[in-house]
Amino acid sequence: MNLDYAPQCVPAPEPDPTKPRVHYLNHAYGWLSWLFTVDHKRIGILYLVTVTIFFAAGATAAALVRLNLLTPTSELLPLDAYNKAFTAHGTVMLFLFLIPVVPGVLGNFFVPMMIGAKDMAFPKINLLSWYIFMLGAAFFLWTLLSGGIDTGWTLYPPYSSQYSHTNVLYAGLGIFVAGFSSILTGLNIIVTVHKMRAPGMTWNRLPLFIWAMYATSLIQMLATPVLAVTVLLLAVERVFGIGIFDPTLEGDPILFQHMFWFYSHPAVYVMIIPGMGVVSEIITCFSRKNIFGYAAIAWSSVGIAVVGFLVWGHHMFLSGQGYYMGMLFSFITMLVAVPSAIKVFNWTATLYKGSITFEAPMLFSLGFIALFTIGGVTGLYLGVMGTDIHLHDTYFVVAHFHFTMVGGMMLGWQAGLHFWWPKMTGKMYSDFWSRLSALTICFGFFVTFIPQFIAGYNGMPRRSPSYAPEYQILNVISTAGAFIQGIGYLMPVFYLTGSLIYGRPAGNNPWRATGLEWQTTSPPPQFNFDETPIVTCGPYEYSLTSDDVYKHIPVPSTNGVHTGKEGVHA
Amino acid sequence: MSYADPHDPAAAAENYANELQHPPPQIGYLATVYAVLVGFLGLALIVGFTDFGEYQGLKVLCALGVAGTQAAVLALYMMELRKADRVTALAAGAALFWTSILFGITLTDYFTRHLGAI
Amino acid sequence: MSAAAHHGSDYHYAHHFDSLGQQQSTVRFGMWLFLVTEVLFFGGIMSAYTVYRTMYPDDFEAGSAALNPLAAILNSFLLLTSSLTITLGVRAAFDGDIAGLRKWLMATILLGTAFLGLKANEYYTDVKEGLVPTKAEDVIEVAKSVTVNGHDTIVYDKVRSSVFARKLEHVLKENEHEQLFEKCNPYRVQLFFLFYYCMTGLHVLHMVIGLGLLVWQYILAGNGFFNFKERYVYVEAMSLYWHFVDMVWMFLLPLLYLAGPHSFDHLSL
Repeated sequence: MNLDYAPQCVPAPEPDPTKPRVHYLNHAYGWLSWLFTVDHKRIGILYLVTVTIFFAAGATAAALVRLNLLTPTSELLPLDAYNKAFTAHGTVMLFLFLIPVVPGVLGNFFVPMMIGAKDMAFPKINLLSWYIFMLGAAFFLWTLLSGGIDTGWTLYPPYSSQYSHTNVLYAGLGIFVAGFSSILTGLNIIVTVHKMRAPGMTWNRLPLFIWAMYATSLIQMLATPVLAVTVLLLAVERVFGIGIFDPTLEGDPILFQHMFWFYSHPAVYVMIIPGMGVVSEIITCFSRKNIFGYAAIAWSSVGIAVVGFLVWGHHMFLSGQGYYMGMLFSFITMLVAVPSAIKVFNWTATLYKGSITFEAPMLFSLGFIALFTIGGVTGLYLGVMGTDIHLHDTYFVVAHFHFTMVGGMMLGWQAGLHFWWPKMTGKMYSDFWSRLSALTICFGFFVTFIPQFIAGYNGMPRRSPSYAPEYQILNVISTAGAFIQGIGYLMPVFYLTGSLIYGRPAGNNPWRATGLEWQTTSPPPQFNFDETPIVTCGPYEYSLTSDDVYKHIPVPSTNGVHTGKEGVHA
Repeated sequence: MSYADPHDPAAAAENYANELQHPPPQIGYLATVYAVLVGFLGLALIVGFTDFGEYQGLKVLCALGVAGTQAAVLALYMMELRKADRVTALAAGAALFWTSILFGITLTDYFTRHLGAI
Repeated sequence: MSAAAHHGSDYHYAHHFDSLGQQQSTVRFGMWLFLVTEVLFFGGIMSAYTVYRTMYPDDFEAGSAALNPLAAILNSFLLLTSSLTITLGVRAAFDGDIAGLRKWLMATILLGTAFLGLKANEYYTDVKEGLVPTKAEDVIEVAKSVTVNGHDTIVYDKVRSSVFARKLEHVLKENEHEQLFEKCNPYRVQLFFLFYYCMTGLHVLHMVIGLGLLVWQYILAGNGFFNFKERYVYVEAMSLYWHFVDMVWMFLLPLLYLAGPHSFDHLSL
């Protein structure tokens, strides 16, 4: 069999469709087989279901905020309810959706498959981390049901520690607990990548998604503990009425901001690097070209992870932090733009003269590149101290981080979900509706957030329920765009769910992709591969034929271990 | 850890077999390390109970130096970091590196905050 | 060649590994990475401590001088010894000496429990002496001599006074460090005590979790879990955690207990 691309290992034959097949979804049935599973694929599905629910919750809060902003005088919500609505939107979307979504779902499901392992390094800890995540989510639910919190997701003391009359303690506990889930997932992925790779899967043959997940996990593992201890100290102050950020004891509330942003700035890269990894996979696959600048993209992920730890103070230019510190942070912030730009240039170069097709994953990915670039470049306005003084705490900031987080991560997540859905479920979704969803989301996104850049540049403050009347037209456009986006997000719920029942079988490798995960059957068998894959080439050999690659490879040794299928080498 | 021959699973197994060649240390060795650690505890107490007068800053540095050395001995000789593979050493180094970022940048702000204003 | 044949035992590593060596190195590396996260966890609170320590050195010394370091010194010794005993336990597990493993695990558990006992007693003493941060204020009467109509007379002014400040003054006087009280701001000393309780509290929490795991391994050893020598690596992972907890204490001793001036005359439990 000669293929016009070179997969990383010998593909498994298509199973006989007339015979029933045992795979990870049907080898055991019942609720308990899901709740006590240690299979990374099933845990990935558990994350998929739960984060989708949390996304719906966060989106509902967003809808409330946008509806309230239709009029300049806050007609819909009481003032304190508005504070609670945007805080609920921020906390739920960040801690329960954006941070766990790609590591939890796609990371869990595909990191072992893409490196040719049977499971994560610590399957039980993997399940534990989902339960811990659910416990954290329960604290958030409790917070929301007991009246919500109104501090903003940043929880700055002394407001959050002593003066807020809302349930900051439970929200803090939710962040603390969900953080441990994040730590354990990150730890598991790093150990898996180091110790569980299939024979032949050298570091330079790792798919870029793996590099991105590795960099993400590094951040999760190193930054989250600091947030945990910070929130704990906040909780002490909240419970006992006295604490180390307390200005009446000559404590320094800005110290909280330092410790908080030591986590939370790297955490915004947790919310973008996985999306970059997904896009790197998809751009090359749908351009039918090897990725341009593999090493540059791989190491720029790690570079973002490391340099991302050095720039947190750009959130604090106006907080009272030192002037020279601000200059230093501003300078390093310019540096962190470099690895992001490297990625964008390499994706563009990959597209150049590729045989591009526009299936839904590719549309989402192209949307990602466009929106993330705008989000990234406007970030530089905010990283420069002079302009930040003007733009700080305006809708310009809101638009900027939504361009990176929604335009970046949300589209990256949708791209990944659509790309790997046929592998996860074995079913193909509607081509028409998926493309329409991608276009609707991108269009709605522009309509929502471009007006916010204009409003923010002209001085409309963020987090304020009422605003000067001249901003109303921009806000009405923005709210309309938000609802167009909402329709776009609802579509996959229907056509993806529908595909489970009505979808046509996807086959092992519907996109003719090269990664290991595509060389096994769909849905994958319980232990991912019927035989341990032996990796023979780099991850993106789309422009070589399989004969080109295999004819140069010696037949593997046959001393009693798996050898793969020798047939193709003959 | 990369495999010697990327197409040969047997080579991979060999690689990991080496991991078993590090049995935990014997009692004599451990007793020596323990004695050294207790010695450092004594040193820490000497520093702690000495009155440095107006050089309190020096006392802090001495005390932390003793504690750091003691911790390093514990890590290298009792936790066997000395014999660990490269990636474990890298992990330990990463812990130190990121902790130094946390301390270094945060403290830099407090040391320079009074220096200038806009 | 399977790993089982390599070692002449029936032990089977977990399904998702290719060799025993892979499984063992994975367990070891996993624990090391977990300790990296722990370093950052304690690093967070220690960096906050360092910020205040550099801003308010006199006040932190006064706070430290009010503590009684004897229990902490004994505890340092206990923890160091327990680090030795658990490593001996690893050796016993590696050699398949189950009785020895149980003996050393029990020794570690006892040393750890003794640590917690001393620590509890120390907390009790601290609370009894009133060294607990609080914003509570009492109204007290302060004697003041004034001259009324040419006569010197004493009047009593009612002033609000911090409960903590008076307790701190009392303890520092008992330790013969009144001069430190003159130099310090009692509000800032409360920051020191907040760090004292939070840092030692987190350390105690780690000790309690570690003791729970030790007891679990002790029971497992009794049930024959460690009859497979290959499972010694779990004791080794446990020992890594325990060493780390010891290592944290090595820094807490100078940062909290020995930061201020102390003399041997006032040591007590």
